[in-house]
Amino acid sequence: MLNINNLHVRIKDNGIEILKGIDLRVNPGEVHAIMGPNGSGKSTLAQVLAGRETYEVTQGEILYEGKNLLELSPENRAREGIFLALQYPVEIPGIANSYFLKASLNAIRRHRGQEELDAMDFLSLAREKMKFIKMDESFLNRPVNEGFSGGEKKRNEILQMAILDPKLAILDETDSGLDIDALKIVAEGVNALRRPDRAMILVTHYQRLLNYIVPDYVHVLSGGRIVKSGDKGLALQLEEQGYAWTEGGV
Amino acid sequence: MKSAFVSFEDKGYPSPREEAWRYTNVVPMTETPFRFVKDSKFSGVSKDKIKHFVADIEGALCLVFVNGFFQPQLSTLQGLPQGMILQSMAEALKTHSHLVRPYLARFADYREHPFVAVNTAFIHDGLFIFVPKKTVVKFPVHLVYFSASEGQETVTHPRNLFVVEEQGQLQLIESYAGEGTYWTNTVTEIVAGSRATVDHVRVQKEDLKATHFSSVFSHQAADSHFHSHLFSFGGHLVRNNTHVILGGEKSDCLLNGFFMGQGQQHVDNQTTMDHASPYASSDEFYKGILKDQAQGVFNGRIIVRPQAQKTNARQSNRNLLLSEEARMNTKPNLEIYANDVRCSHGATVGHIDEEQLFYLRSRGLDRHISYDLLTYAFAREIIQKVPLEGMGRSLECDLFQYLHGETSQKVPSAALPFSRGPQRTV
Repeated sequence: MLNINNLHVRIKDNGIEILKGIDLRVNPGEVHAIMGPNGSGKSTLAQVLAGRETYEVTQGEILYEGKNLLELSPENRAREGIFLALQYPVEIPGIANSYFLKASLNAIRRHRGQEELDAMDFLSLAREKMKFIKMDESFLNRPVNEGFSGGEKKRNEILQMAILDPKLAILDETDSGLDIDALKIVAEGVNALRRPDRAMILVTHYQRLLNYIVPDYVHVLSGGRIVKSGDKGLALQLEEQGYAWTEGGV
Repeated sequence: MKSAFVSFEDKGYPSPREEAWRYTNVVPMTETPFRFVKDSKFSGVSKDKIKHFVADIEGALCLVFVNGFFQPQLSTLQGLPQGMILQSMAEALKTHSHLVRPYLARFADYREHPFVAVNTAFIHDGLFIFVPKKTVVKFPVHLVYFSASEGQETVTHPRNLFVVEEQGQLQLIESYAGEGTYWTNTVTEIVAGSRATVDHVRVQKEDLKATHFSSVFSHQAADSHFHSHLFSFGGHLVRNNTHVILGGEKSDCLLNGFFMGQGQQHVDNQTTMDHASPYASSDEFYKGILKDQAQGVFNGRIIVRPQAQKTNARQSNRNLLLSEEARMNTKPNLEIYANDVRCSHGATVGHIDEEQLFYLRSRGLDRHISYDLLTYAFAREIIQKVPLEGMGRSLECDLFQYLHGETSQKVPSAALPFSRGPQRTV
């Protein structure tokens, strides 16, 4: 599904290189965790996959379902089934959550050749998904993320994911800023969205999230490179020994 | 009024050397030979044309003025609550002079404001409303001022006075529109008695060739509420002035404004929030969108008098520039003479936020749609604060039209990006 080969990325504004040769292969149905210390490039990788234009790819390629992902705009990546749950979901005063979600869903449905949902059908879909992640319906009528708590914002991201039905979901530090109860709810939501035809990439600093969402593979990112890969056992080892030991392995 | 005329003769038109007129040059405009319309029988404007400028608000009374004169045949008037007076200013000056005189030109200071002096010198018509003690007016009153220049440059000086006595309640909408090259120079005075509530919406959709100067002066007694919302879309040269006096303890004022400028428009907004009593609060929020070569001005003054302890005053001005050539001058101005107060202010001028843009695009929305949505959303934050729902829809239509340069006809609400459709919740 996703094939990243020798990816080099720098920040457009200042030319600082963040990713220095990433190789990663993700198949349908797999859940990959990407762990690493602060500043290792985890979030950059997530943003580059979604098409963030503040970064520049200087070398390497990303193939998504055989296509060159780097040629697609952020909106076309979303329509092709890529979803990025942001580490810091953006507040947009003046746009109702429901309007935003419906417009997004219909843009994606149009692209897939499906009929657009009308207001009634959308509402029942949204209600069903909200129930499932234990989100109050009143959030539909509130402006996007405005005045939401940290946990509510993250839950809103998972709601979007549930409604937009992506093939590849990238969750960037979805666990950060969540207390244990909120974390459990979010994790349950994510687990229920696991499917044989859907892949997920979890970007996280801490092992904690992986107690609730058990990955098939764990990769450790350090200094812009993947320095270790393994199964879920790797995450436990990191928890015990910290990130320092991985650096010796470079 | 003779003294007003003398005052204007003394001072003349303001020059850009005066601080209050630094960013707005009126010299070219004063060289236009605007003519005063003397004929009140003008009938070249049909009800259909007026309809276009009337917000669809259930049960609203609609009072139409053409070229400054009241037009009973274009207006709708139903039964008023007992004791309420609603009359054209020309009539009221004859029949209710004892109620008009104590307030007329009391708060609109013509010595300070040259164009208020001109208006005051030439008062001929407008609307007078008197809401007696404890009277709640259940329907909004909608004033429509329409100017039709008919080939010659005309000027009108509408003058309104709204007096709401103790515990009275009134909702008002003032709309300004027209066709051709003309100058509207309007002054409204609002007097809110103790525990009175006044909601006020001002919508300016003048012809893009027109000059629009409007001034609202309000005075509030103790525990009164004055909520004012300004929407400025049209006009070539525009100056919107709002002057609030919090004259009684624990009075509160909400002052919202949205202005938009495109092409060569020049839109100047002046506000004064005069805290003259203790425990009063004010919350002011102005937003502007400027396109093309438009120029905007925001000059927000907060005065806290020595006696106005425990004042709570907030002011914010945020501006969105959609082109490289658009220019905005924003100047918050605090004069605080009391020591136990809470005052905050802030102003920003910026472009569409890249983080927001990416967020929308990463959910599958086109770049240009995301851009438009964020522009709407920026303005909508102010529109949503208007308490009358029909008014909100009407303003969303206006916003859509002005952003897309389609000002000639009414947009069906279904075409709007935020149309709620038959289901309110979506």
